[in-house]
Amino acid sequence: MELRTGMVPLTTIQLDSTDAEVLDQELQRRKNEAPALFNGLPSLLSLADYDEESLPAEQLTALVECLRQHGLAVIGVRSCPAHLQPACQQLALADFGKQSAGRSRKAAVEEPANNANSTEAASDSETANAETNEASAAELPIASTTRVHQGNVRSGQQLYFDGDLFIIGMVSAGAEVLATGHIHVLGALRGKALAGVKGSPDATISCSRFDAQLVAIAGQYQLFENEHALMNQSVLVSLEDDQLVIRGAEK
Amino acid sequence: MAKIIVVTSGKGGVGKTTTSAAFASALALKGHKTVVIDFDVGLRNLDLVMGCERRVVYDFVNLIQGESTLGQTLIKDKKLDNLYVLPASQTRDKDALSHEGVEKVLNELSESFDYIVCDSPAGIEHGAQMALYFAEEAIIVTNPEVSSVRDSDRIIGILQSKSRLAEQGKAVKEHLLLTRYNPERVERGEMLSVQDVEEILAIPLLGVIPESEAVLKASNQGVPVVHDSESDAGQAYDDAVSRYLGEDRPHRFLEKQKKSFLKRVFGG
Repeated sequence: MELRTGMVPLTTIQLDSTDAEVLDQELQRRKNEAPALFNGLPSLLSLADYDEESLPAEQLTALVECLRQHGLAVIGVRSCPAHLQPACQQLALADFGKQSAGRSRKAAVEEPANNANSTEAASDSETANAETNEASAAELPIASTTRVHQGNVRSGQQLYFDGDLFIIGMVSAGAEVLATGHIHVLGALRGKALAGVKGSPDATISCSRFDAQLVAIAGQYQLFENEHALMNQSVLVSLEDDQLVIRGAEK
Repeated sequence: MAKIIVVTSGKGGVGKTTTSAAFASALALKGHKTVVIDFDVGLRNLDLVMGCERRVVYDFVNLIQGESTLGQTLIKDKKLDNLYVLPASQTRDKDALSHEGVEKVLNELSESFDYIVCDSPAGIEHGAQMALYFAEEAIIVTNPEVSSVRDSDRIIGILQSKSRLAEQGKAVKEHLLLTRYNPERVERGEMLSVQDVEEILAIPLLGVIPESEAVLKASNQGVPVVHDSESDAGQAYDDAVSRYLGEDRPHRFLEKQKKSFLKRVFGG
């Protein structure tokens, strides 16, 4: 046996509501957008800001069961309050300690220039600073915001990343790449590329050879049934006033 | 230790069995002890193409389930001493191919053969996944048409994620074999060209087999097409196998054949 430590990307789930039914609907909606999104996705559940009243133990059990039913592999919790600890043990959830930068990730994508723009993100990073000493192990960046995928994404394959996706290779027709942030393809893009899938209008898609079946940014999508004027050229796709704009990258 | 090669395509009817038979025969012709396995349980036809249908007593499933020994099950080729066929079962279901069973048989064959050629069934289901799981090299048989190329792309994705080597973080070596190539139809824009297919699939080209009457004739006679050394397809397969073994041979049959003077005068 060998024990190794390493950093692996994990998705942190921040709930808007503690109602299992609301969560169920939300998960279903996201699944409709990207069917393979949750398949075995290793994830943590953030439990910061909850007390005994706002989230009783049995409610947590219902939420976790709901997440797991939708295919998410919930493996642990962050910032677990004392009253939920026994329930977490029963649900076989590891305690990943206090929350840190993980939570401002979404904000980072939406506001790349100014990380601490929203009050929420600001208060969050303050808390993180205050907690640095007592939870230094948990401060390790467990998720990187850019994933580099080396190799081709073949027909029928789907690649999803919570952050920016950098693909060194081609995306074949019939393949799908999705990211909550930007998507760069250093190669031909012949399949579908969906950037900003959690609603970031600032996300972009770039590729060195454009022949996509579909591109989408923050839910705005465009299909390419006929040959596009910029076919096989390098392009940058962005969202301007809710309209997808495709530009040749040279200009 | 034998090298395990899978002949696969995703799509049906593109020439996997013809290729398996021709490739295995050519390897044997060049002096390598080779066995070719039919993974198409329930729809076997490798034995037909190899011309040994009437000599099948036991099959792959019998062997996996311990009902027969390797010696009883392997059929020696009628032309080549160092070529053997392991036929599929006609009466069983693909699920009879268990992971452990296939591994055991392959390990046993590995001890005495140089090459094991696995003829994959069409599709991406259990049978096809079993055929490719243990492969070290893959011959992706593709026709120059969009649906075949798309399916090949899909199967390459599966090779890169679901094979044993992929699970170990290594890569299966891929070879593109373009079959049923018709330069005239490429010129008329009715078929994808070699360059088109290479660009879409982005794997090294092993060979191009021209569309040929010799292939159908060979299948019906149960004699792999490489034995017909006069035919264009037979020569193309021979080239491909030589290239596979490391020989440097230029690609042939890519251009439209110019009609000879006599043919132009007398037709034909």
